[in-house]
Amino acid sequence: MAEEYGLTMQVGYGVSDEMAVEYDPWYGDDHHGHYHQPMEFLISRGGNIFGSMYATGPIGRMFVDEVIASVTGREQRRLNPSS
Amino acid sequence: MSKLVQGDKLPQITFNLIDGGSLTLPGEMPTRYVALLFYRGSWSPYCRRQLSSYEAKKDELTELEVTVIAATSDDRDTTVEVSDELELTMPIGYGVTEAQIPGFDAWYGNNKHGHFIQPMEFLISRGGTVYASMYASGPIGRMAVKEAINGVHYRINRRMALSKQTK
Repeated sequence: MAEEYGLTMQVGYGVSDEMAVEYDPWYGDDHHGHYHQPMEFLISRGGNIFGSMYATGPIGRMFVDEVIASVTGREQRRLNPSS
Repeated sequence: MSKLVQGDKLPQITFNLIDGGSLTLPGEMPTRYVALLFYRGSWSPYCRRQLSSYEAKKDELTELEVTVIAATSDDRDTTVEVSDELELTMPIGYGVTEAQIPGFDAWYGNNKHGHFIQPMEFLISRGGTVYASMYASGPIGRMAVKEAINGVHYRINRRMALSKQTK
């Protein structure tokens, strides 16, 4: 899939229920097997969760434009705390 | 308490709408499908963009028998203001309180704008069954309108295929 979509990001594979237990995801089971439902996180320095999203099915994600807007806003507040 | 997942029945809730009426879900589903969008408040640019994105696809959603219903803890005046400003035509429930939505298991936020419901969005099918759900703990995280449309298309196609098989 990474090759098909020309992905350059790092992709972790083989994530098991045991590995993700502290993330408290939802799971799906269908003809594709057993899998995590979408959960997405924006993480800031020190590993703090800045944004999180959990979907119970295929519909529901963090939009990349909104992630960029959010990080831009956070950076602006950091650089200009009085603004 | 647990969050709503696919297959759950939507808990009953009555919205006070900005047009002066009220709407109770799941009893009064206006169409075969409902996209129910709880948003943080008029002050959130993320929420405003989300509401506008669904408004922009109104014709396509109507064709698929999807009614969009938005809901917020904002008061009526503030909600009318944002609806007018964004030229929204969807029904919007205002003044939603925590006491009204215990069965939804929402996340909440507190900031200078007050106490508010974090985004939670549902695609509801006939009979009030949750077909898709999404919970965000902050402003980022939504059901994209394009994906909601894809989801309904998929469901309709599957329904038609099953119907053909049984004939």
